[in-house]
Amino acid sequence: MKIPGSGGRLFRKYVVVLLVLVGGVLMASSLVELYFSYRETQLAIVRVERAKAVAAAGRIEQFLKEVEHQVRETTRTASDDPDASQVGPGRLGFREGLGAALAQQRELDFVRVLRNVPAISDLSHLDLSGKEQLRVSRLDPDVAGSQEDLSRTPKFMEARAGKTYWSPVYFKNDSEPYVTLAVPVGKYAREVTTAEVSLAPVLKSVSQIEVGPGGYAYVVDSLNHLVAHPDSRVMRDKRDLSALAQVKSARADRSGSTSDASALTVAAGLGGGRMLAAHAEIAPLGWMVFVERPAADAYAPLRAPIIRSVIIFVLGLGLSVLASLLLARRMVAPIRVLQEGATRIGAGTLDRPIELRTGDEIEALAESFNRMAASLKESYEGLEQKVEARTEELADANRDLTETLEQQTATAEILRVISSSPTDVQPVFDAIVRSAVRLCDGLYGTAVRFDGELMHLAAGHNWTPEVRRSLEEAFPMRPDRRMMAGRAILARAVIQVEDALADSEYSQHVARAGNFRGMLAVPMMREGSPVGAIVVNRDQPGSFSVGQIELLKTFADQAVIAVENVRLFKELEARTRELTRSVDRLTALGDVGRAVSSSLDLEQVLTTIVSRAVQLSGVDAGAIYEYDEPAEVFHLRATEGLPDEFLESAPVLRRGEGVTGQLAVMLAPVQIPDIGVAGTYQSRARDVLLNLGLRAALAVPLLHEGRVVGGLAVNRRVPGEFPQDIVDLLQTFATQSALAIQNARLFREIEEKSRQLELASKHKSQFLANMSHELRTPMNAVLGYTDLILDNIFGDVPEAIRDTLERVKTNGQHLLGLINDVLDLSKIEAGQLTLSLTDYSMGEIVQSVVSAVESLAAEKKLALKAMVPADLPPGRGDERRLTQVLLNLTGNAIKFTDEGEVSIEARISDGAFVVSVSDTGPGVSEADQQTIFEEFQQADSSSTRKKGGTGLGLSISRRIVELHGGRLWMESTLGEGSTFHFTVPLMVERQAEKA
Amino acid sequence: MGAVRLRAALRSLWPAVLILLCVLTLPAAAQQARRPFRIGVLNAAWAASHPTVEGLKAGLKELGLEEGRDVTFDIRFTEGKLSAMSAAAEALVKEGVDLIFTSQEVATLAAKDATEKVPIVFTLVGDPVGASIVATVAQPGGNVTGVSSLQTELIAKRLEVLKTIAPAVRRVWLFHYQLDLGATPMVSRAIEAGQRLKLEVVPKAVPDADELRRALREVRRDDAILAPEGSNPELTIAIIEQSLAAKIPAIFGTALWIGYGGLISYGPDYYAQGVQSAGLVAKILRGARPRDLPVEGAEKIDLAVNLKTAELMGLNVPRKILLRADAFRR
Repeated sequence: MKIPGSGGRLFRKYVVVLLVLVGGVLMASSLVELYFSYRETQLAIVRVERAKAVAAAGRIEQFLKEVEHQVRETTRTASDDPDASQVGPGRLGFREGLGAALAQQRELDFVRVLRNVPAISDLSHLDLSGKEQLRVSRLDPDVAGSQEDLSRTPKFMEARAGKTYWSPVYFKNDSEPYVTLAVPVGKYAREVTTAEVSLAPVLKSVSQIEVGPGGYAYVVDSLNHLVAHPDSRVMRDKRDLSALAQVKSARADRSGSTSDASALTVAAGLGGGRMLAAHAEIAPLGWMVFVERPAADAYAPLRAPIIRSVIIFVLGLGLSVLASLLLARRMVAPIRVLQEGATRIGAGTLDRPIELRTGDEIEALAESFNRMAASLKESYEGLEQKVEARTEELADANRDLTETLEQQTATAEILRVISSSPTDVQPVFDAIVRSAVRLCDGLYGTAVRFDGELMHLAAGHNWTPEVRRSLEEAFPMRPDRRMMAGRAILARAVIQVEDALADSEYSQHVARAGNFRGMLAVPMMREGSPVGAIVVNRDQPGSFSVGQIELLKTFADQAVIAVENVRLFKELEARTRELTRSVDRLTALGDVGRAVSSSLDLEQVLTTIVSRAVQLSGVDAGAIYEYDEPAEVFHLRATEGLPDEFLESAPVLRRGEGVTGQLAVMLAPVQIPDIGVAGTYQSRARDVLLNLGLRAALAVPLLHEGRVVGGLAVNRRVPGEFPQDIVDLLQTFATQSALAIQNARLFREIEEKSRQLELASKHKSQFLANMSHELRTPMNAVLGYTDLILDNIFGDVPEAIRDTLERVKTNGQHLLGLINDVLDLSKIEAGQLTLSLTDYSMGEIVQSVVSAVESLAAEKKLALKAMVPADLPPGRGDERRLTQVLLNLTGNAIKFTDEGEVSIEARISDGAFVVSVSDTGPGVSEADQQTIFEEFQQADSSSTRKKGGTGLGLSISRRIVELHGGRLWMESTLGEGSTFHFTVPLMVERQAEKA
Repeated sequence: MGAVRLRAALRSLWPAVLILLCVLTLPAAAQQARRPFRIGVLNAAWAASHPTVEGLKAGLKELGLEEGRDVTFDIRFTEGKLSAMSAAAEALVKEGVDLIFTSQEVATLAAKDATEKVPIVFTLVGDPVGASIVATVAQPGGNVTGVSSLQTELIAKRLEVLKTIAPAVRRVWLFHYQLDLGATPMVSRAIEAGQRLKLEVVPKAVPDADELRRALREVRRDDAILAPEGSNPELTIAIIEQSLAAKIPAIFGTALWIGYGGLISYGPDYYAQGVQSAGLVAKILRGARPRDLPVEGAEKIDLAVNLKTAELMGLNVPRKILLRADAFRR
């Protein structure tokens, strides 16, 4: 605890109180003084104002009285006027004369008033009945006897009553204040004189009152209307000032005292703002003069006193600070000693009393503290005992709580283990046994599973080697009364034994091995049937608490849940596996189907099949064989998971050899659970398979239309029968394989046929080529000799013989042409025709053809034209063959044209020669245009006989052009002639591949 | 003990407090000294000492404004030349006077044309509303106010006075200066009053003295002349000459003309108007705005008669006139 220094709270408090006291008194006295001096100033101001107001009121009163006096004096009746007798009365009758004289006199009197009193603007005389008899005006023409009836006006009535009447103020031209004065006339007759009096002089005297800055004076009439004010704007408003506080107060004040204090009014001024107002009454009229100054003026003289007060206040405050510091220090010192003592007591030091000798209440307080310390000391001792007892109680309660908490924690822990281990029940049993031993204060814990017949050890905790051995010797066992687990399972209830040694039925062997006494067993129940038990052993005899039993029951229930969970999980897993397998199978079959339908490569297809089959059926190796039925042997086609060693050992299996060989006999799946068993499997591959560790074997036949076309064999390392689903699966693959083998066989046959056909065609061409050669050589000899004879080399030939010889020659030449054509064609077909590429001129080719057929055309009287541009570039190609083509086309044209013309045209287009041969022959029909280029074809078979020809020319020509990389085609309309075109590239550097 | 010391300390503080108070009050004292107000004067007089100006000076003095100390005067008189008025007015404005004091209509209008800011106080204007110098008498508006010589208001009374002194008169010629706009309401009022008084009123606006002299030839022996106050004093002088020469009774607007031989006058005194206007001038100089100061009617209206002229014209001055008269000329 902090011991406060001189700035302690109490100290501050004292100082503040003293300051407030002294400062407050000072301030109060200053304020009182200021207030009074303010009041005095106010009163002084008001006194001055009042004096001014009284003076102004006096002046105004004087002015008005003077006016009244003038009017009264100068308007006496004529009889009162000493001058009246002078106005020639002698010539008038007395009464009339008197009346007229009076009237005349009155007018003159009025004129005189006007001259003497500038403030009066009009004077009127009203007779007894209130009718106006005379009006004299300063500004307007005078009027005599207007007889205007004014009897009801206040001015007449008041004046008739003998009073002096002052009307309220009215304004001429909205700006000049006037009042009406009415006075009775004469001593007896009650006639009335009225006068309009300008208040301008009053206004002037009011506006001339010096009131000081911001101050002003004004006059209100008896109705509290503003009569005079220095500011004409205020005047113009014609305000009723009855509501002003100063006016009210003045009116109320009228009868009472006129002391300065009571006359003081602070009120809102005419123009707003707080004003100090004083007033004085203009007695005869009931008017009031007000003098006002801003209230703030009263403060001006206060400036000095305020400064004075502030200085006094500050000094006083300084002194009081000093005084309070001293005083407070004296008071606070003993209190601090007291405080220190109290702190000691608070800290537990009760032996040292507080030493204080001030001789006042503080010393008494110190004594009280000392007494208190003594009694505190006494009570402390009793308290300590109580605390001890209470602590014990709390510890007990805490223990119970801890126990419960531990049990719940354990339960939660087990639930956590259950949830984190859905597939394995072992961790759950371990956790249960561990927690059970801990929470039941046990020595050992055991979990046992019961499969309906035997009990199996599931988990143990804290087992000593002796216990473990004795238990492992006893289990698995049928439940009986020797073991706690057995008892619980038989009874299907919680079993408790207080002392194992005292229970003769219990296996004393185990009890001694474990050296335990108290035992508790709880069965695990699933749907009313026991599935196991939890046992806890203690080293001390005695019973288990209800809480522990309940806990163990909970554990048992949790164990059941865990076992159930795992069972369900495993079931699910199995189902999932099954499903996955089905999907895999379908996928594999899809693959196989795709392979079968997309490939004719048998080996590839079979490899795919055997690979998928092995993969899906979960075996270790597999092979596919093709059965050669006539030879009664199986040929190995594809393998999976088998080394080359195997391929070498048995590439071919005889009928009946191994599982596959037996297929040819059985026509159904064959399996051998273990080829290791002597006599079950006879094959050259047996040793190889055994070396590979393969034991079980299965083969399914590849059947096509009831006949074996092959076999699918699989091998497994694990011996044993193959399940039916695998057999079924393999049969599916076998069907696919059979299909593939069948496809492949068909394909192989087709391929073989094609090859044979090709060969036959080649032979034919070769034959033709050879034959042509063989035919042409003797033909040449025949023709050569015929020529020699016709050239008379052997002497003159008689005409008859010559004619015959000519025929021989012609037919011989035709035959030679035929042979040549056949030779060419066969050469082309045999791929033996080769172009001899040289530089040539298309112009020369055309020219040579023209000269060759000129005579033929001339014979048929046909015009033959050739159009060749002079600037055709040289080409490269087989000149002789191209000439042959053009000759053939031109010859045909001449041959099939009976009249008209044949023209040849050559030109360049897109880097190629385009040569066209046109005729005016019969033309070729649309349908014939397709076949005309085939061998041995002519458009009209009838024309062949007429025109001759082999029908090979066009076909050969087309082949030649195509060998040059060009194209030959025709355009024709039946009856309008034909045009044959061909193109050859300008430069042919090599022969085109395909002719 | 402490209190004694405190008191001693306070005593020693007094001089400081006094000095402080002096310092605080100094600026207020300094404010008292300011330059005199400059009043520009504009009229058609032949000398600076026009009665209105003299009256103004006297009035201001009475109100505590001493010439030289509180006010100075810049007097422009055009010696009867009305055409010089505008230039003189503008010169005054350019000089930067605080207020322009004018006499008669033409000078007032010239000043009003020259400035809309500098306050203008007029005198000797017969009808300020009729002359379009102010909007209304009660609220003049603009920067102009002043003292009206009540020409229009007094016209009937003048006819009456004329008839009183010359009862035989049947026709009255009313000559007025052509450029005085304020004369129009006066003329109609005169005709109206003439009917009541059984007098034929013949109004005649004249531009100058020559034209007036020509017109005066038409005046017959039984006729009389009403010579109102106007901006052109030459007209009045011509009327006096003709009136005396032809012994034709004539009434004038102010007592001034009686001294020159005029028969009779009824109207406000020049000097008195000057005095009266000093009240307005002082208020304006002390901060009031002209628009807030109503036009005042001339307060002092005098009747003056020249008994010698009356005798010359063979007129018997009635007692009513004699009693009313503020001044005589014998």
